[in-house]
Amino acid sequence: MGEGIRHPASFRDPSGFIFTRDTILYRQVNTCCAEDYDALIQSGLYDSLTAAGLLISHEEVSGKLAQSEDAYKVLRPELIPFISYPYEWAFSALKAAALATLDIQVRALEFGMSLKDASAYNIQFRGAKAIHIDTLSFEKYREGEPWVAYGQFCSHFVAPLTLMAYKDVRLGSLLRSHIDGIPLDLASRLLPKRTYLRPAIAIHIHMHAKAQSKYADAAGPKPATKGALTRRGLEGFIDNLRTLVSRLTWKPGGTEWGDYYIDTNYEPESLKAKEDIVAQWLEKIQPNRVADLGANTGRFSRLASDKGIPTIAADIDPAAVEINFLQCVASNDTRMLPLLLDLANPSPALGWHHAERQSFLERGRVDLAMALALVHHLAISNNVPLPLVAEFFAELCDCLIVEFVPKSDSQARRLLATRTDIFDDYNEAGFEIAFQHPFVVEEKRPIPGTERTLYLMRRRTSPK
Amino acid sequence: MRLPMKFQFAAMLAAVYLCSPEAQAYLDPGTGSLIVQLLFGAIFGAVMTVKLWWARARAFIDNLFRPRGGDPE
Repeated sequence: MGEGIRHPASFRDPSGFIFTRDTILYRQVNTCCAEDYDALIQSGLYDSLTAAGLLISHEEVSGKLAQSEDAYKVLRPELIPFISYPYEWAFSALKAAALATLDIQVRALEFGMSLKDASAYNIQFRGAKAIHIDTLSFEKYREGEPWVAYGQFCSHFVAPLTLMAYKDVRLGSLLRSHIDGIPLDLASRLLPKRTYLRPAIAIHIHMHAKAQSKYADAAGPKPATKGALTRRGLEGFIDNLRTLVSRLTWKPGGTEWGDYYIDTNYEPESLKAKEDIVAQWLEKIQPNRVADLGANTGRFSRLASDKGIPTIAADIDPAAVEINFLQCVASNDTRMLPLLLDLANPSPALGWHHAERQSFLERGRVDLAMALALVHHLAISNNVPLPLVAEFFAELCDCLIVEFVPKSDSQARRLLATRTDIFDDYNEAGFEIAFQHPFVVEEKRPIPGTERTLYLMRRRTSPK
Repeated sequence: MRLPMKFQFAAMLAAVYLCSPEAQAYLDPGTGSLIVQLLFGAIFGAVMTVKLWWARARAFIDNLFRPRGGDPE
């Protein structure tokens, strides 16, 4: 007993925890949650949610794997290809996660249960499909009681979504600095005054923030609310939240690189040739997991995901990530995960003991990374020396498809147009010297009709 | 006899605080968040009831005018 390694983020809920043993992920259900867990299974809610793809499935395994005396059951949950966090999601992805949470709550009520938390971190994505991953988030519904997770739902979903829709989509990054959700008083202060005229926002954000502030220091016993809110009232409340969230929209407008494939010096033949080379190398490497960094709207990521390979398509531009996510929804893509990521400032380790939320590098190791038309942005726009760029990729992947864009290329000229060229080593020879330290160049192919070159590289040594 | 709004609210607050808790939630629901639900739950519940009745009425009317089964020719 107790030979597994408990996940550092799994400590808030006493109902159980996640641990790994022999590289396999398990979830322990503690005896204090036995009644609720049994109700989830026996009520039919588990079958209903897993059949709808809304809840992660699991199998019950031997109790010998239990980590402590108070274990009731040990579960082996289905795995998600890549763990992502709300501050890395597109607007529509966060919205899909919010709607999935509400759909789960509606269905739970139908089966006499209720979500006891509504954390955005309980939602993950399989492609564009949101799925709840915490089997222990359910408790028996007690007739007449309000939704205990309402405040958390508003901080994790309603606040960021309304800020992104009504103020600026970049405010979604507030979720990174507030991992327990955006404080409602902050959201209320940041939202435009006109949102007071939207009744649902006025209630769920502005009045909610004032109520939280008014009763924040209320002394006395914890409030109990038996019989205070009828079931129909609760259903109406959830329905109102659902209407609010489903009507929130954000349309990608002027995008930095979102119209890149239109505003480019690539001729269609060159683009096709580049796709052919990448497709050939994907075939050669046969990766199990791909990360396309600087993926824009995912044109080249799709070469991997269309082959059934789980693929992360990361980009710094919220508009590109949004367009990519919507394309994944339209094509019912279950392999590609578009993520918002600034490689010059990637998602760090966050939370208690720097371990509740893992950094991108801790989560993102892949067999193959693609860095197409990316390195000149890191080297010229962000002043990252080429050897450091190469080191980063060596930590991320075993194989690398990387494109070198010379200074004479129109896109690189654009980056240099308003600044002094201090990048003496930024040339093909300097690029190869920098990358050949951690990598071996397996193939090098010029892209016809351009001055650009594609490289296929393999890392020399195992990562530390 | 209807109590003034102020007294109704005070009575509701008293109800919230005087009962003993049943659920052993690990998450602090926040008194403010509970109050908002109690304040608007009745209204949203009434709206929900109207929506459900409206959906049923529409289904009933649609059913009335739907051609009955038979020879498609």
